Amino acid sequence: MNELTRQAARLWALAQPAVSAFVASITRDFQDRDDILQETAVAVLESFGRYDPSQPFKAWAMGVARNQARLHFRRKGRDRLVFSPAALDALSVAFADEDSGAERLVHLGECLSELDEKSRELCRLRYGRDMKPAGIAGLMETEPNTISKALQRIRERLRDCVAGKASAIGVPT
Amino acid sequence: MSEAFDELVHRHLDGTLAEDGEAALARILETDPAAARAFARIGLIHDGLAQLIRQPMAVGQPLPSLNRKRLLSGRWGLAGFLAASVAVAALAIWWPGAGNLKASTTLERLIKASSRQRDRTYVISDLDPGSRAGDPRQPPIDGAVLHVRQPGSFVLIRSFPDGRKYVTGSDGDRNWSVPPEGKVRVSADPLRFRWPLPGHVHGIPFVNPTSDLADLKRDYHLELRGTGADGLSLLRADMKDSAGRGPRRVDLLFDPESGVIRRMVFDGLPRARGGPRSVAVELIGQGALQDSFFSHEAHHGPGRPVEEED
Repeated sequence: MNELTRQAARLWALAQPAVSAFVASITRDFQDRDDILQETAVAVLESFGRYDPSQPFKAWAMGVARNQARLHFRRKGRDRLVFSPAALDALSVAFADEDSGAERLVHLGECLSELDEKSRELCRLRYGRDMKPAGIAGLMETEPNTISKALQRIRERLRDCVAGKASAIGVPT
Repeated sequence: MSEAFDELVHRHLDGTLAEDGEAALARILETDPAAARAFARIGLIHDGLAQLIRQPMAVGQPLPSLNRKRLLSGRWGLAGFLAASVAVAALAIWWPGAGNLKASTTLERLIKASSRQRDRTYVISDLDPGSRAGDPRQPPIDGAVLHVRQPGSFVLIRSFPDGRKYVTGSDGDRNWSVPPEGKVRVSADPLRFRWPLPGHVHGIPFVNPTSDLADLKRDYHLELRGTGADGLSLLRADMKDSAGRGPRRVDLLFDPESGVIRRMVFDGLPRARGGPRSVAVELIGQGALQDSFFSHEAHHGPGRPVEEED
């Protein structure tokens, strides 16, 4: 294994959580995210020779992911990227700048376990079963808007919890 | 950021934001870097939750479900291998103690726990987007509710988009089908109305979990993958003989304390009648059901014609 190969794999492993979150946020579909992320991983490794090491790797990988997302939806015959190129530019910069290290996911797991059972159940339905608020509302016999609001509160609580744990160990948030 | 902006972000991520809302969100993101950063913070939580909960194996996995053939075919093949190694290392961190327990012993424990549960209720999720445009005369399996009583009784309730129900089931002796309209059909053939169940004839542990879980021990390679952040442990079963029938992979996510299987994911299912390749079955209840619930009469009005097929 040569040094370039080793470097590509190492950089990709570090960038992947941010790229994954970026792709999930612009596609809003986890199956699409998985497919695009797979294609992006391969494309990053195949085109690493064209990467300029003086530039941030995460930003470059975000660009690769955007191209792969566009190709993915073109192959599927539909355009699911709702954002304009300018909005995608802004988001790729923002996701690249955010801390997305492995500790963040560890903190998120801890924060998740600290939620009450009802909130965890909502998370299981939304993310474990990939259900949308309307589907969850049907199951729980309540209104979709109630579920939407509850999910919003849960994610905001988790965001604050993760930030708190990160700042406690000195990671800038 | 404002509450209105936060709401736009969350509704966007949940796919419930209308077109004008998406346009408004895009305009804000284009012009306000602070808004984009706020979006990214929530986006990382959103994606992190999916990684932790949706599929525990994805946690910390740099190259999810990477196409191995393609990865290894190019000049970056070894890079893929290295990245995969990083994934394995990450998983070792995330699945503490995985190797310390015997998978087959764990399966035996799950079988015992299963045999203690008389009645169970599951929700089925279709994880294969390609299967969803099936026969319009049949409701989708996605969102179906499955009630099971050992041994061999079940009620499967599928819903059309307009809310009409198509119910099939068995009381253990007689199998029956109650469509939204028309005749109720009854048969002594145990497989006659099981076909809507994904992989119905291939021994997946829907209806007879005790015996079907035992089949897993015989026909599959078992691997205990440890416990995820949601507190559920994962037992993975990969089919030994690729020429065999049945799902290629079965993931059993169970409560490590009680041994109760909370979620089963069947991947690589035979696509009989265009069914899905991949489904998840999630336990949502273990309450006792009345005996009469498993007979067809409980699921239609008294005036419906009933046709005995044998």
